[in-house]
Amino acid sequence: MFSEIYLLPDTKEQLCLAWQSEGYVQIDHLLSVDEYIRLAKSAWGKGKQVERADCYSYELVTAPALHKAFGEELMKHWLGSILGGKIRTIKLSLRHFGKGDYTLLHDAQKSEGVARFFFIFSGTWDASWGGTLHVRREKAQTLEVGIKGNRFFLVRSREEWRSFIQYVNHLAGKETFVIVEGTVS
Amino acid sequence: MQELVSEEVLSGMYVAEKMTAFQRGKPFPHVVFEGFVQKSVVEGLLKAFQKEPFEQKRADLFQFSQTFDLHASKQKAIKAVVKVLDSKEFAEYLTRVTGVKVKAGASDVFGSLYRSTDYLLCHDDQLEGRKLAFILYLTSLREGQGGALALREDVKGVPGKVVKRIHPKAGRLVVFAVSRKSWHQVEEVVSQGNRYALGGWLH
Repeated sequence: MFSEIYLLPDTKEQLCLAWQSEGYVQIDHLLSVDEYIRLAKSAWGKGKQVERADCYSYELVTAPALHKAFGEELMKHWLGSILGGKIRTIKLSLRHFGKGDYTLLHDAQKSEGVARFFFIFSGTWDASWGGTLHVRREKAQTLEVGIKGNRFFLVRSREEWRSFIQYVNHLAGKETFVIVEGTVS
Repeated sequence: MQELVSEEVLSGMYVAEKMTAFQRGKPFPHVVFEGFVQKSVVEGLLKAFQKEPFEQKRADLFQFSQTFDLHASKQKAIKAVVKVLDSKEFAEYLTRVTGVKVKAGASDVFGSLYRSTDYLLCHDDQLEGRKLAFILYLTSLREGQGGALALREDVKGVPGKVVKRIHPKAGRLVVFAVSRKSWHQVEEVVSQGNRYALGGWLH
């Protein structure tokens, strides 16, 4: 499932150190090319557009193959090696974003678990189209994660570290991306 | 006030018509005044705006450019309009039209500029003391160019679907009552046209 480099003990150790010092880790090409292509076929599966205009607009995706891949023991074990503990559960949500979609910061946003991860499925994406994932941290610079396929972003789950997906503007045309969000406990 | 607004907007019949329009406004009380200010005033403001510093604003909710509070502007054309917005006469005029009692000299006034891809997502404008919100458009955008003020219905305390769109038209003034139900947004500008407006709140 993973690109080989991320299974090497040295790499995992470096990721673990980065996690401990920064509270977040960003990885490109997390999955092997074959696995990314296989899962991407399911990522743009059946979905249902949902909107609450003062909070969000996106399509909720149902893709059992993605749920299986991102919730399986292999993923838990790998995450555990970075976070330095046993991972019991990964709660997943799959969201599909296109023109006009967004999420907003909201007081009701809760922090659950010890960490959250975001994995992106996307074709070529231009930052000027919007869609950037922003993670706001107290007393620190906002983290901006650009949309790029096979990008993985792991961040500490804290009440004050709230995130939003920037509004996707008309320049995106028919291009879309899918974000798998996992709450790790 | 007379020196800036169009003659007809001060007539009793016009005011009566707008009172009805405001009360019947759906999805929440609002009123649209066409050509509220004289054409020369719009032109003067637009010219003054070119010299006013605009700051790019970006957050989860919005992306657009805004001036500082225009009470601090040193430009003649802007000062003249701000003076009218702060006048007792204007406060009484809007109180009469809307039935919402607003105070003279208690306004926040900003210039805004929306360029291609700029937007302001759905919110209700509620902040302590705000009673009426107003927008005076200085440029026009046609349907399909974006930049419309979209009003949403309230469904059990949350915004529902868009039930009205008001397109930017130079000289057009929109006034609405700020409440928990005043869900609105500025739709993304999808053309190269610039949407300049002067807007704010009366307290």
